[in-house]
Amino acid sequence: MDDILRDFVIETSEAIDIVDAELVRFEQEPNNAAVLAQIFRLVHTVKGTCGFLGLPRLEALAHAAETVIGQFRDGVKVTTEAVSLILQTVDRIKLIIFELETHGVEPEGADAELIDSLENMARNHASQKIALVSSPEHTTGSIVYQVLERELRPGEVSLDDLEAAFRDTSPDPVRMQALFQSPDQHLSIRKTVQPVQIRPVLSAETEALKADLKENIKLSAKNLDICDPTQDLVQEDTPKRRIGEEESGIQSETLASKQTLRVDINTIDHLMTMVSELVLTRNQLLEIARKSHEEQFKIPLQRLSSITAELQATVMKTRMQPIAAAWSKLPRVVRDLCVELNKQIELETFGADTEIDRHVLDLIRDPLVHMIRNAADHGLETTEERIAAGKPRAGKIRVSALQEGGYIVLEVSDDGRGLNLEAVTKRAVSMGLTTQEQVKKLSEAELARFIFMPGFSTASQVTSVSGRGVGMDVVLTNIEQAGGVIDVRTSKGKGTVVYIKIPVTLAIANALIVQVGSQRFAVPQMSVVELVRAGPGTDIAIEMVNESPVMRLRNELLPIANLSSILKIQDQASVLLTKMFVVICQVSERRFGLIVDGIVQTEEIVVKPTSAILTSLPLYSGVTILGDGSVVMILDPAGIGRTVGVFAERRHDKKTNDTLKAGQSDAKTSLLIFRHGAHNYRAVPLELITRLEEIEGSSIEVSGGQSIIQYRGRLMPLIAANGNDFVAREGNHNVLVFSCGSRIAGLVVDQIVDIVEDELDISAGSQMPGVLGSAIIGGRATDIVDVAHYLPFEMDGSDKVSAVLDQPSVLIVDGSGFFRAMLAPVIKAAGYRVTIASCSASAMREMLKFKSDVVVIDIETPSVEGFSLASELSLGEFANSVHLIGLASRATNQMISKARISGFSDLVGKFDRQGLIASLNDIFNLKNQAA
Amino acid sequence: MYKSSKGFTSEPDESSKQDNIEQLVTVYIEGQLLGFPIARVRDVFALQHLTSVPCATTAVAGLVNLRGRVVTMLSLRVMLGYAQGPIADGDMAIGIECKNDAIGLIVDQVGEVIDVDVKARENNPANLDARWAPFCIGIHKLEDSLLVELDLNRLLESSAKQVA
Repeated sequence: MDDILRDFVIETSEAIDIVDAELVRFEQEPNNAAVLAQIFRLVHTVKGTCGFLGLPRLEALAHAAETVIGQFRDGVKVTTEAVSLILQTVDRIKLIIFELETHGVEPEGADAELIDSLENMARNHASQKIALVSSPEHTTGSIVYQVLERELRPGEVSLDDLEAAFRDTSPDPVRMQALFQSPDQHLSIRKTVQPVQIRPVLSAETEALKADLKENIKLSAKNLDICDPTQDLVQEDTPKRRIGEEESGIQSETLASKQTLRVDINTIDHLMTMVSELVLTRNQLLEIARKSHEEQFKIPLQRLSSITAELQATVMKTRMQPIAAAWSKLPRVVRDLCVELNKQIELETFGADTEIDRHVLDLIRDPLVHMIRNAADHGLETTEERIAAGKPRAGKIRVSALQEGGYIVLEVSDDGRGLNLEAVTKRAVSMGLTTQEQVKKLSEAELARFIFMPGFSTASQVTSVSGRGVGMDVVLTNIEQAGGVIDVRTSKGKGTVVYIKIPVTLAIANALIVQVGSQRFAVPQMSVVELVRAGPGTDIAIEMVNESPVMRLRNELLPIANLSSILKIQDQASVLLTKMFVVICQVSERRFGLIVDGIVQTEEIVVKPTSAILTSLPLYSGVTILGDGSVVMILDPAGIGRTVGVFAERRHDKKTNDTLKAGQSDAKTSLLIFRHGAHNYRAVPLELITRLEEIEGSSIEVSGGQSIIQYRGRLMPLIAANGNDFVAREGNHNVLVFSCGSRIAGLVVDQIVDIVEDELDISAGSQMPGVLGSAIIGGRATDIVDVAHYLPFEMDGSDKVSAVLDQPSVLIVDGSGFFRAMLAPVIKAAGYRVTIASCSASAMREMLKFKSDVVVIDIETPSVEGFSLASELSLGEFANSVHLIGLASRATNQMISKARISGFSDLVGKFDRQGLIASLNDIFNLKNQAA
Repeated sequence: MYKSSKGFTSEPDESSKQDNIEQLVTVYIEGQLLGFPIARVRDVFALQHLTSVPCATTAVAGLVNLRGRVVTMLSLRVMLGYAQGPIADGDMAIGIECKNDAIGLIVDQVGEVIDVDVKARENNPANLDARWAPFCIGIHKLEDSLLVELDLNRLLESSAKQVA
């Protein structure tokens, strides 16, 4: 493509974009002459240039559009259809220009229908116009002889006709002479002498044209720059001329305010590279100067340093564009949506001058349009619905941008009906993204986020605007690509807001430099939430859940991964052994930890793309050169997360997390509800369950009268929930897997109904074996299952204990009703007398009453001041007789030492019943020996 | 509109037409003399401070900073099917340009620039290793040895395919 054509393409695209926006504005304010004049001028320029470059398709389109726009200028009423038609033409022009840009030639194709409609419209307008103008046909004009080598189009007058018309008039010779002597004469047809009567003599070529022509002469006279007939030389100061002046006024104004230079983007990119290199060289020089103590270099170096910094800032600025460039298309989009959806929509934009890197700008352009479409189609109600809801007729979509440090915060909000969370939930479940049980645990914000999943659409009907299920996931992908985060908030009946936070520039980013093995890597600061030290000797332990390392951080369970094994740098035997640094990363609401060997520093890095041969590696997002000149790879936390699958585990982890919290927070317990046989709903505490499995009946084996199954390389006994040891060997079974120490067992149930979190209040005790009692859960009477009854590993050696001892007494202090109910039968069965207390005060009362030998205290329950109760007991009147056992779901070193100080003789895991019994036995054996 | 600045971004013609004479930059791999058209070669440089890229294919030796540009280093030995020993600072490499990426090929040894007659180039022998065939253009008969001319584009394509 030659340079002229390329320049033409760039200029025309810009002009057409402006026409696009201005037309929408014009439709709203049809009386704004300045806007119309600008539109007309732009279209006219496009048309002119096309003719010059030999682009017939473009020229024909531009001409047809220009005619209609010209009619607006002459006072024809602006209609939605007309504007739509012109916009359609503008779209076609864009399409052709795009083709022109890619292939260098106009694409094949015909625009006849479009031009026909435009011409028809022009004719209609013309007849409309003639009705308006009832005055006799006046026009003036002088002519230049010219041969037009094509047929006439509407809006054009044959030159012969014009000439004939001119000749037929009898101008005043004196004035005529004056005209030709005027300095304007070389402009051919600028001014006229006096109003002249035209008696058009029409060529007989086309009969149809004749009629049109008559009406159009007046209009075309304008197009050909012939003055209005009613004016003459003396009346210079006409409205039309004023418009002309305004035009030039606008031009000069824009010239003055925007002195710009078109520079190829590659040049700027190259400049950017050179500047980064300069910065690096400067850094090296500074390093040398520091070592050499050469005083004479100090001052020039300082100057070099500041100049370099300024240069870098300036070059960065050249890459910036106001964000309005991304949303200049939006008014047009909204206008089309109004027509298409038959809704009234107002678009408000704020912060148009917020500057953003053009690369980022390109990435957010499409997401913005997507979001607007979504807001208009799904978010806003129809006009009738709005009126019924007492809202203003016109729906409002608001787009705003503001800078926040190195980030741009974009908000797209509407005042529509809000997300239908029920529909979202339903759809999410039907798509298998989540389950009914899990949904109950999700917050509204989490539910709303399902809209970002690929293929997700709640629209019951697919419209041309949206509902095809592509959209929000594209938005998410683009935003993540730009290193941004996205969130959605919704309020029923009030509207929806989508928040986007993206870095101002991708070229320079803050990064955390970490060390793995002997190598350094950069982690974008954007995705780093915090750094923690974990491992032995710190407060944070790394624990294993089925061979996946996890970490507890302020009540949140985070999956973690070892970077050195992900990157295959070295295989660390165990992550549990050493102290380590964990970088907590967050990728769109999902958090995980990455274990690194060291933290080097934070640094501003210039992001460079990786070469093609490395782009297939998901672990890296780019490469950079550090201040010391070394090359380091930039890790992509999102890619790493996907690679190691820490995201997939998240839901599971979240569940565990919730239940942990539930167990500790006094009243609420997570329960799994199931049914089996003819029994009622039954419930078992979720935290006692290790896993849920579905097994095939055919894989069940029978050994020693017991159904067993091979499970993860071990044998797992299966017990049906009705107490039967035999499980049918056909069909599939739902199995709740319980584990206790190294032993496991599976409870077979017919149907898993739900998982609920509820206050567990066991109201009625039960005589039925295997049932602790009943409780009302979710409005249904539910049997609470005593897991211990079913499972074969329940109470080893309890018989011995009860034989030796004469019913020693144990007091259980636990804030959770469930645990009290759970522990009491176990300890009772082990041969102890059991009393229970729910808080410190009642514990003291019980102590005075029963003088228990051992007090088992849950030190984690908030309502039980475990440590202070322990201190009180171990120092008070029972000091010599009482033994204390602490219960904790997790024992840190800190906790153990604190427990010792408080007088606990042992600390036992909360779910470790065996350990508790053993501990009790130890205490009583010691007591007996002493006695 | 704007010609990109010299060197790296331009991919000149493979052949200079003057008198059928072509200049080849020669390198040695496992004793074999190999040549590339000089127009495609941007630098010949000694390796320094190589950063390895974990999880990349074996052909990728790592990255170096060559005057402010990140160059992806590939092992020509691996690309030709030989094993690559430890890479050390000072190893020689040929800098080339491929689709806007700066690529460096690590070689055993860099030879001279040799003038060859394009017309006298022999086709690949029938028994040439099938792995070599896709990127060998032909063989030049030198007085004391044979010079295998390589097509850089195809060479890089074939190693890119290994990645995928």
